[in-house]
Amino acid sequence: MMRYLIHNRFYFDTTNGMLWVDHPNVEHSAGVFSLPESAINLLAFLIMNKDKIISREEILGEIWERHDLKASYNNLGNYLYLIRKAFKDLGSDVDVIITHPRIGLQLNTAISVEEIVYSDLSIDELKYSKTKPSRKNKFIYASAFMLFILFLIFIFYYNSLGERYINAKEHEEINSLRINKVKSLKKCNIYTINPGVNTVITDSEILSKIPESNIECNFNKEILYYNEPSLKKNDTTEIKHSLFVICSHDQKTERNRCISEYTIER
Amino acid sequence: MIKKLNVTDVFQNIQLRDDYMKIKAFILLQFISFLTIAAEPENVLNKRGLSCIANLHATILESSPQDLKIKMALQLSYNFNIDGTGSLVATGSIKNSNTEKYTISRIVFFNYKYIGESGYKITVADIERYNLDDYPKDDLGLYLSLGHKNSVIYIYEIHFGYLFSNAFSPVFICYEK
Repeated sequence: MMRYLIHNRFYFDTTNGMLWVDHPNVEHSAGVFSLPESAINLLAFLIMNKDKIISREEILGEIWERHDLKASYNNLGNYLYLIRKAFKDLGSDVDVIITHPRIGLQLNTAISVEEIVYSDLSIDELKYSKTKPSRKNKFIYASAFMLFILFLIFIFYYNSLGERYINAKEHEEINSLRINKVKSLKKCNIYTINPGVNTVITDSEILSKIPESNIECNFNKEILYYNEPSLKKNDTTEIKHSLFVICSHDQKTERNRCISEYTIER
Repeated sequence: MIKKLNVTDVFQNIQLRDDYMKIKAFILLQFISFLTIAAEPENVLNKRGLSCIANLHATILESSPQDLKIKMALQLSYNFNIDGTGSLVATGSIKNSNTEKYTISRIVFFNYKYIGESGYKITVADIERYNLDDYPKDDLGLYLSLGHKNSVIYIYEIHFGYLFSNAFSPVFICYEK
């Protein structure tokens, strides 16, 4: 069995006369032709004698007479046409076979012909076997995989996939708001909201607003406290805002229920 | 002269080219996924909508031009659809310093648009009052600087609910239904 790579694009197999483009896996080929036996022999003969101009008489003798077939110039012309048309239909931009008038035929010396040597594996085994990746390939695979893992981690952290529960119980900063956990009293977690970077509410101030006796902290509760004066944009009227929120967690429904007390003084 | 090629080299070259294409496509896919998922992470409403309830007790104290004290006890049930429409069912009571007490029972239909940094511009489309609602005005949100005509609401997702704020301060926590 002989297989050739012609003009870096076209594969030619002498055992079955297949002529195809680009990929040895015929199923994925961009195009494939099956040449008849005489065309196979003719093309193979020209390939074997690539560097010579072969006369028509020699070709007829080698391809037809030797195999007890009727030799004729018409036959030769027909098979030549067949081979040239097959290459052209597969996208060849050059004449693979050159006619030297009154001398003979020759494979185009401008195109390369490479014989493909088979290893011990059969062609089918080579098709489906996995070649060992080179070190460079392994590095590329490993890098792509690490990148993928980093993307997953980043997206998970950023969007909290699943229940979208932002587990930032000590400190949350969202745009200009900062939510800080001040203290835990039994099962009550107490938070403050500080709108400005430099504004801090002391523990004692917050705790004085939340007398322990008024809130049942034997059950899970989230308490949010905000007390911040601010100036209206267009005038100097001082406005005081305060917000006091108690959220209790319902064990049965696993949902929070919140009551917000908001006060605005202007 | 016919040059001999080892067929395993041929296969490996083709496989290597295919592998490079696969890796490039893979990385491009990850990048596109990242842009899609991570884009505008603060826009919680348009991404997946929101249905939540707030129990609000609000006290508004004004000393000028005249003393005014308004107390509101409201349950607010919000529905934000991902298409930018929404509704608010408000029930409760409002009482002013003149000891007038009104019942609130209405639905406010609105459109919202994300404007960045957790902010949503609200445009009221319609208000429907039920029979019990005897508060004559449409300006409930005005007292809170929240949800009135063309106002901006800031909605922050925190770990125990959604914090609704106006331009000046947080106003209430809305918890998911």
